[in-house]
Amino acid sequence: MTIEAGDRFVLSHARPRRMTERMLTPALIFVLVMLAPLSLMIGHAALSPGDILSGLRGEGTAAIILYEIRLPRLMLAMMVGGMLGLSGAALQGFLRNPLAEPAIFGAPQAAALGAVIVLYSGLTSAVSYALPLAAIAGALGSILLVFLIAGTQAHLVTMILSGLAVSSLAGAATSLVINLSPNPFAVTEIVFWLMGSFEDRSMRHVALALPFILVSGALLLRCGGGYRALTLGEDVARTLGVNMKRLRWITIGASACGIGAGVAVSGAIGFVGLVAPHLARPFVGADPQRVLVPSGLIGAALLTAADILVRLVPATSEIKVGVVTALIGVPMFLYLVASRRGFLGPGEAA
Amino acid sequence: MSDVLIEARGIDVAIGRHLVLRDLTFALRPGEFAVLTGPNGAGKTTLLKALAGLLPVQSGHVGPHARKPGEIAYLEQGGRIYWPMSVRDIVALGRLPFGAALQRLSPDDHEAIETALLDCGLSALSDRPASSLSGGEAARVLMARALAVRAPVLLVDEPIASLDPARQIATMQVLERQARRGGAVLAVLHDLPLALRFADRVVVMDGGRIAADAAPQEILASKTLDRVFGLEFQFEGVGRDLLLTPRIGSSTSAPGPGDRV
Repeated sequence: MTIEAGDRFVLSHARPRRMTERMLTPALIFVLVMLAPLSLMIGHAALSPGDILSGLRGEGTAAIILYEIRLPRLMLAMMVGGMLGLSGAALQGFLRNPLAEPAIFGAPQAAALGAVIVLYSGLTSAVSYALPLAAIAGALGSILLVFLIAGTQAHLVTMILSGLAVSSLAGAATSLVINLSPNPFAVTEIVFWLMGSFEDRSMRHVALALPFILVSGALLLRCGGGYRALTLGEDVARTLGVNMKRLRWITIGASACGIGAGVAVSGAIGFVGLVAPHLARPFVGADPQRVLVPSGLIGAALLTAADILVRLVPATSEIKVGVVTALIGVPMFLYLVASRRGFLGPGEAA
Repeated sequence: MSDVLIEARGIDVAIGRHLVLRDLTFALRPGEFAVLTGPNGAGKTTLLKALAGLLPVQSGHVGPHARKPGEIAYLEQGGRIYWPMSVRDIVALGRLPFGAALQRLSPDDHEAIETALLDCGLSALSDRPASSLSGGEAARVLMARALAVRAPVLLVDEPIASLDPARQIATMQVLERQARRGGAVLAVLHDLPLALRFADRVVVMDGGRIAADAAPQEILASKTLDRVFGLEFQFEGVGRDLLLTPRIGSSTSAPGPGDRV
């Protein structure tokens, strides 16, 4: 009789105080509401709250800055962050593994490859539905490949190694595309794009990603009961009425769709999906269903905050938000691995 | 027979390429407390899983066909709790087939959960995180989860393997009560004295087939246990007073190729 999945660091969170649990979602929405005006105000041209109010009414240059630059940027950060947080929580619930997240499957890297191929093969203009579709195909391909290599019941180490291999493969293929690119400006553009950013995005980018993210998000939220039942393993979940095949395909498909669409408009942004559920658990406990919504909101807040942060750091060119999330996320990932060292030995099923 | 709650008719079940069950027929009726026993690898867990609809059958069929979630409760052998949720929340998972979200449990759900906690002696532990439990306590939580389903058919795989003697007896009494209330219980057990004291019916499996299926006294009289386990059992008394012990050094099974003689 064993108790799995990171009890070492989720241990103290098993009995959440009901008060904090109930307050978490409103509190997170409040944080997002507070972050939103900040994100609209801060940038090369600082806007006062008055500018924003008049800009939102369509008056003056503030309106152009808001509608052409800041608002799409804010919306994308929230959408993509929310999707990353939600899919991280969903994948952790599905795999019963607190180390799972889209980047573990190489999904963002493979989505980026799909997008880069479409972008620089001249198949499409930068803003068309071919872009998210290619990115979604890339993300789906990577997750399927990892499941194919490792199996859905795979040992955690097998899964991480397969993900690493797939992610390296996608990275190498992206490098190849860059390598073959005849245009040095295009190369710079791809490289910067790959770092992940919400700079210079428009409402068309929002429109490209939003439908995919909304549908994927709704699908993943509907899977919550299945993830909760999986707390007792696949067999018991099946006797509780969970259709494992459907749950698997919805989880894989919706994660890939949401991540792919996000990557298509923002580049590769990693580790939000890993961090967000861990930040939610102290408040809502380990229950994989209760973690879903707060993780999405935390992901949205994290990415919005990171996107504000990159505009505050004085630098000649803006620091890419994907770099910031990696700088925060990788140490967190390493901490989680280190704190689970004893659990990563042979015999543990993911 | 119309009152059969669950049955397997002439099933062959393979795990990988290895045929584990061969042409096996078995049925469970309301009010029956049956114990499934036999040597390791006899196919007990495979039969339980096939009955629960968790394994595909190569031939034959498992009935009833159209089964709704919540009609069978299944306790996995050595089951795991993957997330350290509270004991009560884990037991509440048993109410999932009835659409119970943890936040909105009906009075029926609450009653089923509290009764299951009480039956397994967990009321005092109900707010504890699963990660803080001992192996035996975690086993009881999983048992309580299965009981909370209140399914007409209860399939339990080694429910008492990690329990202390008092809890073993208490769990057997809970299973017996379940059957007296009209449920059908099938439990895989290795503790033969307990199995024979409590069960109405003992099903002995060997090599993927049912070697015997009868009341405890008949099983003892037929020497089936001696045959399938390769041991010489001594027994006296009947029912609750049964004493059953294998004679030490009585093993009659032939040594395997790698065994030292």
